[in-house]
Formats: sequence, structure tokens, C-alpha cells
Amino acid sequence: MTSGTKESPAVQRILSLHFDTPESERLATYTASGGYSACRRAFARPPEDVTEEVKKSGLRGRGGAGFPAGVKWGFIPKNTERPMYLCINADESEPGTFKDRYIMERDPHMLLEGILITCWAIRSHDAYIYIRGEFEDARRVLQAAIDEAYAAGHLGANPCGSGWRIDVTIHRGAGAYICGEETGLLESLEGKKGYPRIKPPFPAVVGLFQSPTIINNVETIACVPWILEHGGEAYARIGVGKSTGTKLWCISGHVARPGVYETPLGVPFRTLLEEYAGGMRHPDRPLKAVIPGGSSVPVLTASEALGVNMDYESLGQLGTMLGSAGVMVIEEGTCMVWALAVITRFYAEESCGQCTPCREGTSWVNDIMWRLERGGATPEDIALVHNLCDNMIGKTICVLADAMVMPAKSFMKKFKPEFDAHIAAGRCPLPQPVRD
Amino acid sequence: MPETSTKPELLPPAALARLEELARRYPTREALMLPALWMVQREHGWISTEAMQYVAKLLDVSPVRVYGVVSFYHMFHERAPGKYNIQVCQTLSCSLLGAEKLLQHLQDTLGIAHGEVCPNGRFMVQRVECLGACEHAPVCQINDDFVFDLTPAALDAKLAELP
Amino acid sequence: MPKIHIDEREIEAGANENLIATAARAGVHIPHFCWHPALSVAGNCRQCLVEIEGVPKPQIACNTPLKDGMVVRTKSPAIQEARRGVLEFLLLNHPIDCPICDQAGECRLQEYYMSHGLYDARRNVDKVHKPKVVDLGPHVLLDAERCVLCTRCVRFCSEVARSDELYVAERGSHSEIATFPGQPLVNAYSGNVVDICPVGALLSKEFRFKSRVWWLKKADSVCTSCARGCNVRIDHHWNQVQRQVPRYNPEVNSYWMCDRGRTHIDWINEQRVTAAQHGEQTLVLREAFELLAARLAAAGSAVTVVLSPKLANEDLLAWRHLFTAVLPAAHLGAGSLEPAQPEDDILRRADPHPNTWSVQALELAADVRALWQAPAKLLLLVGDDPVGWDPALAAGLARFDFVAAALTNHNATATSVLAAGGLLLPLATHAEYAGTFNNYAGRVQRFEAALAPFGSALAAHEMAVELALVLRREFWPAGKPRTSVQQGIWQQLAPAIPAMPRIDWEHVPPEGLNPTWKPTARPRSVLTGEDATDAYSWGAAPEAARAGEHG
Repeated sequence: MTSGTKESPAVQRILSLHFDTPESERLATYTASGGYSACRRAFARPPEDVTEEVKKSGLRGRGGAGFPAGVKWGFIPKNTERPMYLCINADESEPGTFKDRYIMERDPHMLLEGILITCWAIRSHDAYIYIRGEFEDARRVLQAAIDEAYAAGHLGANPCGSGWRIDVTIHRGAGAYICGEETGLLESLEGKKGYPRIKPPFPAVVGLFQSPTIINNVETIACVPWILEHGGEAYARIGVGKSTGTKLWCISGHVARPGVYETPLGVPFRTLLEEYAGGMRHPDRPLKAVIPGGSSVPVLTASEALGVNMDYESLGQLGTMLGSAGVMVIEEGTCMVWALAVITRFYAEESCGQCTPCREGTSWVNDIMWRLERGGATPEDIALVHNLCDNMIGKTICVLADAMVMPAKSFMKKFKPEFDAHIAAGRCPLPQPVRD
Repeated sequence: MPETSTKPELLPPAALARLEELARRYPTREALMLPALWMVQREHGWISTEAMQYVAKLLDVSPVRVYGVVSFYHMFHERAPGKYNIQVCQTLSCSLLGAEKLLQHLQDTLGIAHGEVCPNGRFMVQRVECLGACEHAPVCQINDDFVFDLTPAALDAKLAELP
Repeated sequence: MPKIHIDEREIEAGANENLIATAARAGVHIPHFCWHPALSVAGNCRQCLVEIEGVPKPQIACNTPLKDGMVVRTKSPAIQEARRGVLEFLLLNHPIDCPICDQAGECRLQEYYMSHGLYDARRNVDKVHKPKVVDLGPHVLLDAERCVLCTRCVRFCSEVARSDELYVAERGSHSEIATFPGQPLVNAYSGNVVDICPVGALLSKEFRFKSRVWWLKKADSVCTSCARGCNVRIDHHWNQVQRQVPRYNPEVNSYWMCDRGRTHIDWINEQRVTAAQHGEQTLVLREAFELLAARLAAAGSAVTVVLSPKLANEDLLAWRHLFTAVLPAAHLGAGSLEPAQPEDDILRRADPHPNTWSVQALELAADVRALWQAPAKLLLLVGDDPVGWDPALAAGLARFDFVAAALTNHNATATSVLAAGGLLLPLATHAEYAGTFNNYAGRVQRFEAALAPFGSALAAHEMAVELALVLRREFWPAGKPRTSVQQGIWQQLAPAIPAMPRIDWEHVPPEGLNPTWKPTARPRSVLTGEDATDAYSWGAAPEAARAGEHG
């Protein structure tokens, strides 16, 4: 099957193998390449074994937090009369991220098989796929795949002969980034505003409809069939250190070939940029900055990025995060103050408004950022924003506030001269900031 | 269930039947909130206060809860939108690749800004946040459909070919 | 019970307690907006952040389960900074219009700013503007700019009033408390949201702009609008009741009261009978009592005395004693024609009187119309407004040689009595003396004097004593009481009635006395006619009013 050492892994891709196959979304294509056999292996094993296998794989949540999936599954209460629920977080709204869309549009059965195995492992009969409202195309493809799966007996009362009822329902969101937060998702699914919940209690104990619930990202679950087919240890041999397996990278911004690319974790950023994304789009505009994991993580300077490997630990050592793997590449000539203002605008728009520091702080910081860019800011504003960030981070119900603070503080620190120049000039000093 | 009345049901029988079928997948009726609201918006293009009361009755929840939900989610329209709702992403990757120009272009050619409907009711423009298609930046959605790799000219061409 | 440390003090916590509640019990006030002991935890204001040893991030005290040995710091520099930060965020878009805001003086933003804030304003962006005078319902106004979105009001309407009329509309910094468009806030307990609103966002329409709260004097009292007997506080100024708010009593009304009871206060301030009147003439009290005494002597035992279930225990005991042991009366009873009110399983009782229980216990319950029609030469009314409830009664006044009425207000009964050449005596309201009511469950609850009596108004029990005095009869079986008239009544008159509780008048606690006795009279429900433990009768209601009794 697969063998190879960490130095020259034989496995380069797991998830994207069929992204470009014609009719890859059809059941026939999926079964032709061996689909719906991994779940049969899982059904033949005790559920705890399946969880152990996923634990062994070292698979970490691919939504952004990077929490080990097998460990999360282990949190389900052993003695409970309440039903277990599985929620698939397909809300994919982290700026710069679009990998889950590819999985749902191009290999939905891989996700469905992952759901089957996960439901078996956590003793759940019901899975909900919470998909962002804007992904209507993906939703249609996914629903068609679900219909095919039901018709073929891979879902329903007796999926693949397991005797374990598994039903999958797609639940369409309606335009709110905060519904990608685990408990915001639960509230939204229950029919309310997407207000994240105070914790404790945690979803594994009190989740959907007051019942124990596991919430996992699309990509995380999509990895599960391979792990059951080839073993957790084989998965753990791919990648580097505690960053096991492969990763779908979303590369966008000022590159020649933006897109989704899959490599083992630990790939050098330089390789991603030059070999996969075709390098910078304009030869005379070199790399200036990179946001490696969706806008909610600290930014890297060009020199930092060009020297880093893309894995959880290496990025952590540079003070940033792998996050959602939404890699946004920024070229020289871009005004970083303006870029930050665009980012803070996102958080101000998406704050649910429930708790004081985020509701007021995101809007205040955003207003100051645009004032910095367009005029009217004072020298005290930089220190003010730093202090407001300190008053927001770690003091809120969920981490949306932190998600704004990460880019805000890192941009202001690493590109300080630009911010100072804006204040000195009273507005953006660039004659025509590059914006196209 | 709503009482019979001389007013036509706000949702056609097929939609109501689908909703009841869906109800078997959830332990509470309140969980049908988003599905029901999407059905209403699909049917009528937007969600009026009358429709909110209708959904409240269907779901056996207080009307103000429906109102809170509709006003929270940005994809729900509380007023009639244009025939084509042009939702232009303005988050980072799209802005890096020219979203501001697109929005300015729409303002210049159609004469409408965020949230506005042009006088003949054909187009509405909305600034939206990351649409999850950054590899094709700048993007917009026209109603439910993505339009990738836009330039002002490409957008004009797309709008022109709409029925 | 877990033992925890708060700011170097060791405190024993109660079972299943929240950190913020434990701290409050121990006298450590942790600032907060959204937490309320009778509502679910929201955890959204973030004002109650505290440091917990071993936990990296500050935690909200309102959602921290207690662990034995937990070490909590509420005053560290980091927490002070966090508190100031939250306050600054709250005040970012707040209008700070204290000079025109009713909440000034009892506003948490003010209090916390003075104790934890005191910073120079750094706000340098435009404030978000929202509607400032939203007519939310018949009793409540909303100023959306002042709102801190603590959602206490939303949770109250959902969990206590169970009407689910409020929710938060919109998102982010444009969030606003709202009812469904076009639907007002009409639950029967809407006024409570004004009490629990920690800022001046939800305001009482009745109290708006009436008085600054630091001018108000306060007195513990009991609501008289139904048989629940919600504990209240009367806030007054210039000898007028300015507002009435609930007083916490876990065994009666928790933190709440209904709107009807809350707003039923104008009658205490307005249209009061402040002097004795006979026809056109105003009399001093002495003259009035002498006149009445003379007429009583002339009538002998042909006297009908009609009391009211709105009278306090002391009043009922005194008058019953006066006309059973001191003076003769052919007919003595207590009743009312006031119709039943809407009842629910939250607080409201159908019986609109505060003391029906005692009327039953004293075996005074009677049909008012029957009393008015009984043959007698003199009719003596104490309290209520029977002609107001049934105008047809007025014609019956002509039958009597003399009519006298002790009333609080210039109502229809007062007008009819004067028109019939009768005597009107100024009766004090419960706000003007101290006494006790027994609620529907027989709980003895004491109310204090809030206002000085209006004009020459006297409490009913004082009138009974005065009348005996003027008639040169001995009122007190065991001699004049040494402490107070009320104490004397309880010590000397109450023991004669087995069904009445034995209490020490001077030591009735503010939360009242649990009943430990059973009434001997089995009351009948006026609504169903059946024996009922929870419903009390007070005489037949007019048919017209009965039709609307479920309101």
C-alpha cells in the first residue's frame, strides 16, 4: 500500500486525488476507486478502536484550532441516555479559505464516508452538515451525493450492512461568519441567532439540543476514510512531528496560480509559493507579507515566510498559526495599513454583538483603522489600538475578538513604519496604493 | 399548524410537505427556522413581517424570535431585493485583486451603492465579506451563483447576458 | 461544601453556587450587569471578570463553578484594568445623558465608573445612534442608545413572564432590543424589566421624569391589588407616592410584581378625603365623631356595619370588636363587589383584595348587597367603593335614617353618601399607617407607614378606638395598651378568634410570617362555587363584571 520514511514520504496527496477526475462527485466514480470500503472496516471494529485509530493518526482539526480529532472524540460521555450528535462544520468563512468547498463539490462521497465512520466511532445516528448559505452550488452537489448514498444503502437504516442507523441532513446557513464558531453553529442549527455559548458546559457534554455533540471541520472528517483504510500509523508517518498527514493549502492573493494544493504537512512555504502557486504574479513586485492561516492569525514578513515550514509547530514558533491554511500572499507596493483596515472591517461586520469587548471593540478599532488610512488619525491612535486589543483578547465569550487582535497587533508591529508614515502624512502616503 | 383562512398560504403545499418531512430529522420545531426562512425567501424573494409571523406559527415560536433571526443573518432580505442581487466580496484577497474598483464601477454604471436597488428593480448591489472563493478573486455572487475572476469589463459582460 | 478563597478571605460556599453569588453572600461585590440571581446566566457583559489562580485567562464570575480550594482575586491590577476596559467599551456608544435620564442615582454604569473607571475619555469616533424613545408597551419605554445589551429583559420575558416578547435584533454594534414590529410589550409583568435594567434603557412610563431617585424616601409595604400580597417598597417624595417597586421575598413574589399592582398608586395620592364632611359642611374630627356617636346612640342596635377585605387585620379586629363587644349591631360583615381579576400561575390571583383571608378567619364574610338591604336605621361603611361597583346601590341609601362612611377617596360612594345627607370620614390608606395583611395563604405580612396621613385621615382601627372613646365606652378589655394600638389589638382582641394567628406585632420580620395554622372556615371559590383551598370568596360579583373576569 503505502510505505516510505519521513524523509521521502510516498504519500503526497490523500484528499485531492480525484478533484480533477470527471464526474468525481458521482457515487459510481467514488466506488470505482475503492470508496465505501473503509467504512466497512470501521463497522467491523468496536467504536473505541476506531477512535484509537484516529488518535494514533495524530489527525488535528483542520478548521483552524488544530485540536487532535481522536482526543476530541474521546470526550464523549460514556454513560448517557441522550443521543449523540455529529455536526460537520462546513461554514468555511475564514478569509482566505476555500478548501472545504472543493471537497464538497468534487469529492462529496469522501466526506460522507468519513461521516459514516465518525458516527460509528462516537455512537451517533444523526449527522448535520452546517453549510454556509453562500455555497449553494456545493450544497446541491452534496445533496445529490447524499441522495445517491441513501439510494445505494450507504446511508439510512442499515448503512453498508452495519445495522447502525445513520442519517445525514444538510442545514443551510444564511450569512454569518460567527456560525463557524462551534457553539455559534449549534445555536444557529437550533434555529436561533448564531450567538456562541458561554463555556462550560462544553459541546461534548452539552451540545446540540442539550445532547453530547462532536463538531468537526469538513477536511478533518474527509481524512478519516484513508486513516481507516491504511491505518493511523501510516497517516502519522506522513508529515512532520506532531503535524501528521497531508494538508489542503488555499493559496490566494498576489500569486500567479491561486488555488487549492495538497502536500504533506511540513512543506516549506517557499515550495508552496514557487512550485505550486507559480510564484508572485508580477516579477517586479516581490513578496512583502504572508498571512499563513486565514486572516485570524498573525502576519509574517516576507523573510519570515520564506524561511518557514508549513506545519503547526514551525508556524507556532514564529508566533503565528497554521489555522485554516488560508494562505494570503501580499506583494510589495501594497499598503499594509489599508490591508489591515480591510481585515478589521471584516471582524466589525461579523461580530455577533453579544459581548461587550468584541461588540464595541471591533467597531472602534475598525473605525480607527479607516481613519488612519483616509485621514483624521492622531499619534495616540496606535497606542490606543494596542490597548484596546489588550482589553479585548481573552476577555470575550468566543475568540472572534482574538481573531481580530492577531492581525491587528502583528501588522502594527511588523509594519510599524507604514503606520507611523500614515500618521505623519495625515493619511495614506502612497500615491496610488496597489489595489488591483 | 396555521388555521385555515381565506388568505393563500405563504408557502405552497409542496414546500410545506418538504418542511414536515424535514421536521422528522430534528427533535425541535424551532430547528426548522433556517430551512423555513429559506423556503419563504425562495418563494417570495424576501421575508416580510407577515411572513415572519407565518413562520412563527409554523414553528410554534414567538414572532420576535423569527424577527431576531432574520435581522441577524445577512443573506435574508427584509425588503424586496433587485431581480439580481450582485454581492461583491470586499475581504482581503478580493480587495488585493481589485474589489474596490469593481464596486466603484458598479456605482458609476448602475448608480447604486451598498444595499440599494436600481430604479427599474433589476439590480441590487451588496458589499459582502469573504465568499470562500479567494482563488478566483475578485469574485461576486449574482443571487446564488458565483462569478469568478472579475474585471469591470467581465462584470459588465456577465450583467449584460442576464435574462 | 467547597471552601474557597476570595481576596485572601476563606469563604464557605453553598452547594451548587456560582462564584458571583458566593461572593455576594460574603459581602464581596463583583461588578456586573447581565447576571441576575433569578434568571439564567448570559455571561455577555464581561464586567464580572476575576482572576483565578492557575487559570491563565480571567474568568467571568457568573459562570464559574466552584472548586474546593479555589483562589480568587477580584482586585488585582490586571482585573482593575480589565474592568476599566469593559466599562470603556460600554460607554463607547453610550449617550451619557445622565442629566435627563431617570436611572441617574441608581445606575450601574455610574456606580462602576465612579468606583472602577475614572478615566479620561479616549473615544474618538462617532457614536452609533439608535432610537431614543421607543414606545415598547403600555408601561415601558426603551432608549436603545443607553442599552448595554445585557439581555436581562429578554431573559425575564422568556423565563419568568413566559411571554417571549423581547429579543435582540440585528448584529454587532447595531444590535437592539426589540419586540416584533408592531407588537407591543404587553405581558402582565412588563414593569419588572424596568427594575432589572441596570441602566436607563428601559424606563417606566408612569415614573418617567417624576422624581430624582436620591430624593425618594423608602418604606416597606405590601401590594393591595390582589390576594398574593407581593412585598413592595413605596418610594415617596413630598408626601406623594412616586413609585412602587417589588421587594424580594422568595416565598411570596421573588423579585417581581405585576403591572396592575405596580401602577395602582394614583389612588393613594389623588382625590383623597382629607377632612370629615356632613352634606356641604366640613367638620373637625371631634365634631364628626360626636355626630356619629349621637346617631349610633339613637339607632341602638339597628345598625348595619359593612367592612371591606381591603382593610388591614388591625382594622378588621378593631371594628369587629367594637360592634360585638362594645356596641350593638344587627348586621356586621365584610365584603366587596369588586369583580375578579385575571389570574395566572405566576403571581396574579383572581381575588383583588389583600385581606380576604382574614375576613374569612374572622367569620365576617358577607354578601354586600344583602347587608345593604337588611333592615336597619343606620348604615356604617368602612373602606372600598360599593356604589362605584354597583351604582344601583345608591338608591338604597334613602332607606336609612343616617349613613356614615369612612373612605379614602372621593369616589361614587362618597358622593352618594353626602348627597343622602350622610357623614363622610377621612380614612387613611395603608400607605399612611403600619399594619398587617394576611395573603391568600394566610401569611402575615406587615406594611410600614410611608406617608404622613393626608389631612386629618385616620386609620380605620384608630377610628374604632376614637368612636368608643367618644361614646364613653371601654374599648380595651385589658386596659389601654402600653406600646401601640396595633400591639394592643393583637394582644387583647385577636386571641378571641381561634382562626387568627398569634403574632408579636412588634416583631413581625420584613419577609412576613409563614402560616402555621389552618383557617376554620372553608372558603368557596366565587368563580367555580366549589370548595377550594386556594381561592377565596368575597361576596357575589355583578353579572356584568363576571363576564369580563378572565380579562
